[in-house]
Amino acid sequence: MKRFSAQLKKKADNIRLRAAEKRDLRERLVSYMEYHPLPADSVKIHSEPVQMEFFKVFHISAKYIRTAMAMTAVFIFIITPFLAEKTVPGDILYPVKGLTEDIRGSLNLTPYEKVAWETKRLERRVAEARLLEKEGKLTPEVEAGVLVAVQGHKSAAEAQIKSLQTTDSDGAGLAQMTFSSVLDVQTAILRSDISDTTAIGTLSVAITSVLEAGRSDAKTEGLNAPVSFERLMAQLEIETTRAYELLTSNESVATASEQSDTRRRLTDLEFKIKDASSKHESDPEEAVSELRTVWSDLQKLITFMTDINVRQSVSIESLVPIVLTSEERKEILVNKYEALVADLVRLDNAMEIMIIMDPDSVETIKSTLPEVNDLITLATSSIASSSLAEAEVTIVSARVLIDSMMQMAGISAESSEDILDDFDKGSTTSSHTNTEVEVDPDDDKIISSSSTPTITNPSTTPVAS
Amino acid sequence: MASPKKTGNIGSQEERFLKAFEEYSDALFRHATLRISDRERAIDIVHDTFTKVWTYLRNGHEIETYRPFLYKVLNNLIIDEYRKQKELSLDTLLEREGVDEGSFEELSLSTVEALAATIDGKQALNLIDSLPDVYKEVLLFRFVDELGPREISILTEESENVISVRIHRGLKMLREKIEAETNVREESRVQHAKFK
Repeated sequence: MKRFSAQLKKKADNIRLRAAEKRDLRERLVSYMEYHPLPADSVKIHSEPVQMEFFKVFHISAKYIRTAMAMTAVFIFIITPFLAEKTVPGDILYPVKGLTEDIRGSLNLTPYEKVAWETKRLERRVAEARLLEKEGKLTPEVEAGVLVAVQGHKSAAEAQIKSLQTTDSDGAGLAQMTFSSVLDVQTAILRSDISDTTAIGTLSVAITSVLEAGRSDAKTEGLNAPVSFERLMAQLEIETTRAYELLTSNESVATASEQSDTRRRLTDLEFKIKDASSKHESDPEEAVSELRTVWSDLQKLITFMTDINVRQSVSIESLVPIVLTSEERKEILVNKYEALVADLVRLDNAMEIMIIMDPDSVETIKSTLPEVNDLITLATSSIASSSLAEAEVTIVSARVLIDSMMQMAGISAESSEDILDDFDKGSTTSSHTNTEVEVDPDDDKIISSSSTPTITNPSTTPVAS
Repeated sequence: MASPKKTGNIGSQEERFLKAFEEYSDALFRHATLRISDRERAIDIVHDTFTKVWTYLRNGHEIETYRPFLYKVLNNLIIDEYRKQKELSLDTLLEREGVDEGSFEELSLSTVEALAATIDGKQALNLIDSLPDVYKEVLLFRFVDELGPREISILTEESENVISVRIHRGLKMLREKIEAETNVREESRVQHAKFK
């Protein structure tokens, strides 16, 4: 074909305009051009091209249009909402934030998700309100708007919960408890703000009132909302898994102490779940009640881990107090008991060496000592029998009495040390306390201690006049 | 889609236009001459082609590449010329010749190549004028103006397959004519030799 084409072309190339013909043709054309000139301000029209990719008759600029449209779409749907996320009431892009939230809300299909989202929106409004107050950017209009918004989200969440009750009563119960937990946390934050600063405005107080009203209703309804044991257990399984995952993901940002505190509380909650599970057969109502408490505490813990505002405002202990184990309680009690005994020894020594000058004080102390001794004896037996509640009450009572006696005696920690030193140096008769302590050889921690105080009979001890 | 844009440089447009004339006028003339077999008329058609393109520019349109546009306008004018000259309408001509998609064999490029290889290009040019215009047109576009089947299809507003079929049939017809002429010449030679 190449040969045929070359031959054909070569022969065809002989057919051409003669020079004169070409010259005439050009002159005719130029005349035509002169008689029909291009307009001076002609506007170029980019028409649809002859569809010839090989030749490209017209330059297609559709790609630029497409690029511009894509960039506009990115700006409208991604960048602007992203920028709007950080805004607060009064900012230009704040309405975009509301619109974005509405759109996100509409994507939630189940009432449970809707409740969760309204709850989230309420948290956001509270955070915005706190920020505005701290920065002093509140105007009456903004304040009113925020309050209306908080009320609105609260009402919307409550409405969704009511709606959920008709289709999924267990879900409604869970949603109610979650909502109640959120209100607890937000109220705690606002209270923390109110107590921390005198400059706090009326908005925090107003919002706190709204939340507390909702909290009280939510708590009541939460207690009444029926939730089955099985549903609670299943949801708790999911939420604890989520909590552990959050704990792991926070490792890089949280301190060791924070991680330890959180882990401790999760462990406590797991123990409670096991305890409730074991009680389910014998006392199902109690089991469900325990699980409800676990659910609320778990929600608060998750909020603490995920919301920096919460972490900065309240302590984890105030939200989810540690539940001491029996061993821990006992150890604390033993420490307190030992402190009591030590103080009693100091008091005894003070009485012996006659540093108490006031006769009335001496008399009062003498009359109180038997009672204190009885309390300590009772505490000793309570601790030994692991009646921790009784031991706690007894030790607290003894502590109060000893403190008042020491105050009367004018004994301070420092002077009591001096007394002991002096006593060791010069005294030939002493009454002392034998405290036998068993120490773990591995870590030098006290495993157990038994103290047998010997208090000198005050009637035989001369009192300084 | 029209998007008005202010032009900045009339002078450059005129220059480009005249440059296109210098570059393509011969090729356009050649094509027109081979199509209509009338030199003078071919010059007029080439002139009309360029004046139409100039009018197009005057109307505010922009032409990025002149060559395909010039061929398109030229082809349309040649078709108009046919309509004036021929007794039969082009449509009827097409109906007679058939515009089916053709067989696979006719669509195959390798078949066209093989066929073209058997034809003497020098003789072909002399006989190409005797072909029906639908075949003459595509053969000239293909082998003289060196356009591909796709470009030709866009110029003529026919499908590529139709163009490929026409090329094949045109070559076949050309070969038959060349063979027939060769036979006639041979017979004539033999006859002449007999009478000597």
